[in-house]
Amino acid sequence: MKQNELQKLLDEHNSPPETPRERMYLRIRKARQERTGRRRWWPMAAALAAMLVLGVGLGRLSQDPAMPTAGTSPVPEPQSEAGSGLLYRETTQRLFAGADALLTDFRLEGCRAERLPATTVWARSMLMQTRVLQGTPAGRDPELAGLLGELELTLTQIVTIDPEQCDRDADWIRHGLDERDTLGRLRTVASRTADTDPL
Amino acid sequence: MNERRLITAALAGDTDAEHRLYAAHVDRVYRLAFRMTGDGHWAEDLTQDTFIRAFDRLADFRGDGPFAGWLHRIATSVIYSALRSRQRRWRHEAGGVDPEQLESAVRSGTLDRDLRRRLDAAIDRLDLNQRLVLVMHDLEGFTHPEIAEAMGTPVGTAKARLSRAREKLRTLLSDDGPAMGRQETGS
Repeated sequence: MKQNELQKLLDEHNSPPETPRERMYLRIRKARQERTGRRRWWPMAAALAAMLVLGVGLGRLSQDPAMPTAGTSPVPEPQSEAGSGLLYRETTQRLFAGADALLTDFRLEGCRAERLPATTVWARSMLMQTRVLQGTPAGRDPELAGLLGELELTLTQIVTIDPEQCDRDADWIRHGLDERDTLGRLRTVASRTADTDPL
Repeated sequence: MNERRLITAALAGDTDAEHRLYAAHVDRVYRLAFRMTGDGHWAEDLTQDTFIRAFDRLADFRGDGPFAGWLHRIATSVIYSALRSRQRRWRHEAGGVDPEQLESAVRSGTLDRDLRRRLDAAIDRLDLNQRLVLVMHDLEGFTHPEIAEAMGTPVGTAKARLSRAREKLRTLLSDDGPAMGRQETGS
């Protein structure tokens, strides 16, 4: 059989109907929205949990010692400076543990289109917590203050990433993290037991 | 707006740009999926999977080559994987085709239903890579470089596969061809 004869036969093989464009596009949009929604859930939840921890910690520190609270002694023990320092350190350590997770995730796939928006939301929440802690005794501790400053810089870089230049910006951020060993130092402080080194 | 700008806008969350990218390329993807499966619902599913994957991974598109080539690579991967994993049972009867009857039918333009069924069977008997090349080139008009890009092979390999596919099809359509009844998936 000659090629042109075969070709005539082939033309009729599984001849496609008109493309159902809009029906398929609606399904694609719906599927992508559902997936994006699921992916956004966990960093938002993590950010919310971190905010809650920070809020509880700072709330306890700022509580008026003279004000009785439910379930406590009518005359509470005044908080010692060491106890107050421990709370700030513990709160900072939790922030650093969260930052470790965020920055590790960002190093691995920060520029993936479907991840970047969620990472930015997460980083923005963490940046707010970092700035709050910089105004507490943690921000006056030489070791913590330095790390809080680096973290603030890195988080600011992440939240201001230009999606069109993400690869370039991400390389720049990774370079900074590696040069200062920021992740290693964050992990060291985050894993240190809180009661060994009160502020 | 050119395609590069559409991609940039889609990456920034512009759904209109995303839709325009989709509209520019969906026909070719859907037609290829339909030609390969012969099933409208399945072809829709494969087309949707292709675009979902493409939009999810849009940031990975480096722009080294045309967007269509990158997209068709995803499409052929999706279609190939689906056909292999489904391992559909052979639906057609075994049997050869009388070349004289075939040529006569082609000349008169009246292929009877049985003959067409046998032709479909012969095409489905090709291994998946050969079938993809044959469908892309001879049915959907893809060029050899486009096929090579989509299948991740050198152009020479794509040409050789097409040549083997045509030869095997001719063999399968003759009485002397190997008995039909099972589908190959390798290559």
